[in-house]
Amino acid sequence: MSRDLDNAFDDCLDRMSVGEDIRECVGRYPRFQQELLPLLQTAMATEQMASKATYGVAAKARGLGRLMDALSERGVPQERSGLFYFLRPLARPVALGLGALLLVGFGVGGTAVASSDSVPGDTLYWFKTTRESISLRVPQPDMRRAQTHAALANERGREMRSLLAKGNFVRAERLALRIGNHLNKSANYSGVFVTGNPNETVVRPMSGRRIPRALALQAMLQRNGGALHAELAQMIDEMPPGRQRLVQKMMRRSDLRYFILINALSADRSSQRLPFWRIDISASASR
Amino acid sequence: MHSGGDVRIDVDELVRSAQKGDAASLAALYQHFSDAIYRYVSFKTGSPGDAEDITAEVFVKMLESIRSFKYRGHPFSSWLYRIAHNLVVDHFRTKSRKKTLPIEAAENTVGATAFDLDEYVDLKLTMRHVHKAMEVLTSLQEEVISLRFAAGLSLAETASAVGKKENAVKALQHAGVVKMRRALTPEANLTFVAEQQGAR
Repeated sequence: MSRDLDNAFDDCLDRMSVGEDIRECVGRYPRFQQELLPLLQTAMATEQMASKATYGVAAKARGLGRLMDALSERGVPQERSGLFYFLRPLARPVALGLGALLLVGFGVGGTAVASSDSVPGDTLYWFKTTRESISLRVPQPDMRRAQTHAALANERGREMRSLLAKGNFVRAERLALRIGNHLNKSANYSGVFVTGNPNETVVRPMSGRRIPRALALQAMLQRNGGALHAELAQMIDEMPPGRQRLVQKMMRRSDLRYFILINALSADRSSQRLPFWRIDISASASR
Repeated sequence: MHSGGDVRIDVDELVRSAQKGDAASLAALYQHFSDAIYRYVSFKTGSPGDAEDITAEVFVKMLESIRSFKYRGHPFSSWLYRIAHNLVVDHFRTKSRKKTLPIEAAENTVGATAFDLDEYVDLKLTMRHVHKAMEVLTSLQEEVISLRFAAGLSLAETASAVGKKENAVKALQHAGVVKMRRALTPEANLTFVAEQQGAR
């Protein structure tokens, strides 16, 4: 097969890929017309057949979830030094912006909406948690990050209630731990120390600039913690006795975590002298 | 590169950020390349389910070795397709090769492509004929055909992926299609549809 025919075939493939008609392309090479036409027909049909294989939305989301899972399990690759190091300050915000834009685009078609109500075990849950992870990586002040974690704790609480309503107690119990993780991180970013014993809580003065945000965070935690407590209490009343104890334990655990953080953010430390496990959220807020 | 969404993306910039562990960049690379990688893997394996697993694994492997990727005149896409190719080879080593799908599978498989059973069965029949025709190709010819027609890589990207010069890739794709044309039986819709299109 001559190189000229190879070149003509390849040239026609490129032209057809941008929309040129097969006969128009073959007409450019009259010498090879008889050979080219059937080959281009076969190539075109093969390409059309292959293009019908579509990566489904759910499968694509699962694949992305696996990638993000692998990233969080195995850690981030070591930072490259040397030639590309000076690009780092620019690369991260640009790439994060692009990544956020792409994930918004990835949400077209209802994926983002469909995943927003998902809970652990749902197909699109990975998509939801990936979006949350990326939102946490966007550069932002510590107090805003603390509020984000508090909001995520609230979302975990909603998921927990949803799983309990479906009778999935094992997953719900795991979520109770994740609520605690988010609240711990919220505490870290708020700059407060939290311990199980309020007498050990270090009293540190907070800078004036952070106080309004801290108070807003405290109000948010009181609202969310109170709502979670109220809904779990109602669910407990409607549950069979065998399940009540387990859910009561989840409720107490989340109450405690909320209470400790709310207290740590409070300017009034008088409530810390009381045994905290006897205080519910609404009582502490009124002091 | 034909893959990717509507947003113009600087792949080089994303790769550099991803090498530093940036999650958003890794996600963006996934979004950009996953469709084409899936088409390539699906074309080679003939199994949508296996193609989904392998496609996801490609990007996990990408994560594991992205630090070792260096620009030496070869685009990132070529490197990624080498990973995909190796995983497909591994797939066929552990499973018996399935060049043809049993027609009964069309009734049970939830296809991501066709929306009615007749169209799905028709597609599967065509794929079976194409895969049978590809059995006559050398491994290099098959790889070039897969990269050019399924993944949509350019000539330069394909040449880089298979480690050959562009003239060699042109010869391989030409020879490969000639063989496929001869091997395709008249029963394949592929041939009929193509001839109808040529006759217009």
